[in-house]
Amino acid sequence: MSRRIVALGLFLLLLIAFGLSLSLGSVRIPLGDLLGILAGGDASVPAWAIIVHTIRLPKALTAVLAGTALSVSGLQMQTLFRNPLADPFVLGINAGASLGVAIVVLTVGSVGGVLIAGLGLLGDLSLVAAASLGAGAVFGCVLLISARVQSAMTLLILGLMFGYATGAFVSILIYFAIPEQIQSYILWTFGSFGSVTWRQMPVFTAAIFLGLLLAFLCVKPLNALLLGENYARSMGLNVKRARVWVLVNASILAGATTAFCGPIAFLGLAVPHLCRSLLHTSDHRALMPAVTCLGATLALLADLIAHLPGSPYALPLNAVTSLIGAPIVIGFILHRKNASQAF
Amino acid sequence: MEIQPVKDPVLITQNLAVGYLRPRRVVACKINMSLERGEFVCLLGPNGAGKSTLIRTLAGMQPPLNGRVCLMGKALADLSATEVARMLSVVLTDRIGIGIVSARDLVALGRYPHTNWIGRLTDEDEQAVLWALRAAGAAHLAHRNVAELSDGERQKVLIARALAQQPDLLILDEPTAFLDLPRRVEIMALLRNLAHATGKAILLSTHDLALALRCADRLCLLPMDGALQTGAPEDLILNGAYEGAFQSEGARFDADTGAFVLNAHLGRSAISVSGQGRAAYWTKHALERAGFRVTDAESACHIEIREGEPRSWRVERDGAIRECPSIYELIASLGGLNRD
Repeated sequence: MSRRIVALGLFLLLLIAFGLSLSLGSVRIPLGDLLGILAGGDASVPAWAIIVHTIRLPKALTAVLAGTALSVSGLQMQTLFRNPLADPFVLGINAGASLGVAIVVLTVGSVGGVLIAGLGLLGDLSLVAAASLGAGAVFGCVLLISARVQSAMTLLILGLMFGYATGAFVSILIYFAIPEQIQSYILWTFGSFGSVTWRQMPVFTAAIFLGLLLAFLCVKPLNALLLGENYARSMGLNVKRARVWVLVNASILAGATTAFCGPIAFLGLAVPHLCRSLLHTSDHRALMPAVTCLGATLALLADLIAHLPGSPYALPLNAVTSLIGAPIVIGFILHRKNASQAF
Repeated sequence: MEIQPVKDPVLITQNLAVGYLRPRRVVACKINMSLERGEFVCLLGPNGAGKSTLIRTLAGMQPPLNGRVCLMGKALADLSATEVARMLSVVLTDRIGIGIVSARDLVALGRYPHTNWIGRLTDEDEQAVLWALRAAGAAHLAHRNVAELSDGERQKVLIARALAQQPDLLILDEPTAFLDLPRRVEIMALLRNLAHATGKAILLSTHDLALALRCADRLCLLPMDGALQTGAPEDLILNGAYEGAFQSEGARFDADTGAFVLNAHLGRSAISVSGQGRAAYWTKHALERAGFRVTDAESACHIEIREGEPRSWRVERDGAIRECPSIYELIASLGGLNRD
């Protein structure tokens, strides 16, 4: 029963965070006007409707989708690898995406520091495509290897090595790039929920929903994997097949998010831990909805903080998620006597 | 009238060879065994004889190198993983690094092969979980976090999980390995009673020879090199198989007492003891432990236990006499005498 209450609380929290992220920003839009705008009516200041429709609503939706995707993906990776420090990117998905973006940004002749604006929609999409291709390429390698590897631990180490190797290529590209290109690449690595346009939204939404659907189908195998691969096998689970499905699933979620929003740190690591503490269980049937809500909420709040409401300035999104996420994980690890039991 | 043995085997192996594929290494071969309903069978064998490999092969966790395993009359290789899981469940030595899961939830995971796609528990599943918790004597642990249980409690919960799977055959790999003696006896008695009460066949591997002798309906002996032998524990003692499987330089199996004794040190002499009751028993025990041969006949060395407050031991050897206040000092002084 108490789990139901926690889940309901988390959902309410999500609604509040969603409302706040629409209402707060460089200009504050009162709730009454906000509801009017969302209902299709007019606001007391006409510009507000434009702000909500073209900037805040897509940004808030993106935050919800991205936060959910990363958190669910992190939960899956932590269980699959039986490792409390696993996150959506342990297999080098974000390194692959970074390489894709780095190739586009650092080698294609970009004009000045405003690359995305300069190239317009085409440039916008090409970044997403490059990141998707990069993430997909790394994941393809991991998947090929996973068919031949017995233990998940080996796979984890291989994934880490892929990440390092890909990172090395990025370093080389940066070394030969001009400062303006480097700046726009760095800008991408800061992450942002604000770059998904309405035209891109259907693709992004479809990818995330596909991932979430798969994630709910993977709940039972993941619960079995809590006992370890041998027990899972003895209960009738085809461990290799389940592992591939979970990897595909977690990588769709992480890859799509990274492609559209850049590499967002710590959400995927911290949210599953937070949910386990709140619900006091590792049962994925209870965790999955909670992680979905809390991931979206934290993403919205992080974005809200990053935009420093009431001021014209903004912080890098990644800095904010790390500043929120790191204390959560530290607190969680210190709280448990045995970190290996912390997932 | 001829008595027909009741044959309703849960598991049969035919000319089974177990071991590893890459590189190919046969650990044990020509294994022909069967497990009957309601039978509690212990698999014994020295380290390295292949108990775990055999257990894993029987449980379908690694393929046989040769021959086959039949579960409920069907070849294991022809059954789907879920079909096997409904007939056979296991308790392994794997560490359970499970995070935050209550004992009840862990036992409920045993319903895995019976539940729907998301693992929802029906009333029938709930009943099975409750029954399993009670049958394993773990009902009082239901709401505890598995990570906080003691070794013995966790073992009971894992047995309950295996029972919740409602198998015909339960296979356990060294379930008593990390437990103290009372807990070991408790687990063995629990499993034997379960086998007899539920009609499930239970096979476990163990190093606990003495306990296996007392509890098992049947023993399977896997010697270092040689064929698997099965039979009632007493059969295996009488035909010498038991002694043969565990012979080593340091110890031997005493078929008269059913216990292992350390081999006497060479060169240690015979000693006679006079005294009564418990003190005499434990004095002889200590002397044998130290490698002396205790004899009733006249010998060059004689120990007299003098009851009183406090008790003392009087050693007479080759005319020399010494008083010892404890068995510890008695053995120490004999060691000194022996070195002369």
